[in-house]
Amino acid sequence: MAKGKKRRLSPAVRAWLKKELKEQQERYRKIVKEMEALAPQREKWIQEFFQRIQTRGFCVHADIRRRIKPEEIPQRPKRKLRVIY
Amino acid sequence: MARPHIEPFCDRDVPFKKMTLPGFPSGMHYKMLSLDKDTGACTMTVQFDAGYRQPPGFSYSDIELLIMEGGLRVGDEMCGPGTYFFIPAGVALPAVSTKTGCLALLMYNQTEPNFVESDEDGDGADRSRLIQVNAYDDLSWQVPTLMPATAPGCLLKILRWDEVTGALSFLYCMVPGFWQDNISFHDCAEEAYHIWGTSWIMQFGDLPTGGYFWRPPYINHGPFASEHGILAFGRTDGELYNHFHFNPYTTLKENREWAAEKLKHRKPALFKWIVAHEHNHLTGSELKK
Repeated sequence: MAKGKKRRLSPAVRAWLKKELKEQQERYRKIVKEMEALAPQREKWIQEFFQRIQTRGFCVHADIRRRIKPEEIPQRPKRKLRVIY
Repeated sequence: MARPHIEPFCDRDVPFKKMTLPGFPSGMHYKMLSLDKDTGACTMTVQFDAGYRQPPGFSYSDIELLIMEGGLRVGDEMCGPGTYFFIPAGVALPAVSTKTGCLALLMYNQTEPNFVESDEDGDGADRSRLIQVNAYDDLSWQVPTLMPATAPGCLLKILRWDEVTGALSFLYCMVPGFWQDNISFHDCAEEAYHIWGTSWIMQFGDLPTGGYFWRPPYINHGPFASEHGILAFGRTDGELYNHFHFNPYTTLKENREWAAEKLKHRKPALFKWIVAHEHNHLTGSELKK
């Protein structure tokens, strides 16, 4: 069986897909908004993460950790931090 | 696969909808988790009502199904929570029914949901690829053997591995108190659904029971934590390699370039061959050689 082969979709199926895709776009937009609202909290979490990897260490592999030197900590770029693509 | 980045999404926040697509019996309700805009391939949480009956039949798409609550009778066999099916396109299942109802995850991998009533397999269906396993009772938790690996306390049960693409379907758990201090991205898309429990990811916050994500390749995620532990279902659409780093500010493009640069160092012979032969357009037939 040629899986996923092109089949002629009935109007009912096409209408279902159109409606679902529209709802998905709305869902996506809502997520983007929610994630933008989380930005101040996320920035605090990032600073806490930077503290931990300098003290407890960064997880390199399984149990293996490496302490990150202060000069290795990334500088925040001017651009907005994007988490949803 | 053309699905948008859906993360985080909790299916508990939306109601079930009646399945109205032609061919499906009544008594099936769903919540759409993600949908491929080009093919209609999708992942849904599905509720089969008590008394639901589906005649024997097949789909034009590979299907994956994980029973989470209740049970389904498939032919003569009663299938309870933890039962996982991979049903190749065209492979006919016997009649399916439920007396008390069933909550499941249902995935159509190549097409929109479709059902063809039939007592026989479709032309060319490959029944040898059919998988049925009770992941709760019949599989053991494994420590991941990926290199580099997740922090101790994240365990896997592999349900399916695609020998051509390296795609994986699996159950995973995080033990209570799990913590992993790095940022990760992969060369493949990754999808997960929380069957039980809450985990935290620095970029997205908490993902509770019923939480879901479809994450396209090269997107930063992590560190991770879970206070009380989780049980989840996950999938990838290709080989899962953990690119670990500690820069939360990198972009998709930078991550992709870093992954390519890594290939140069980790698989220099392969990288050299690809570049020397301008062989960046592998086809399915070449992959199978």
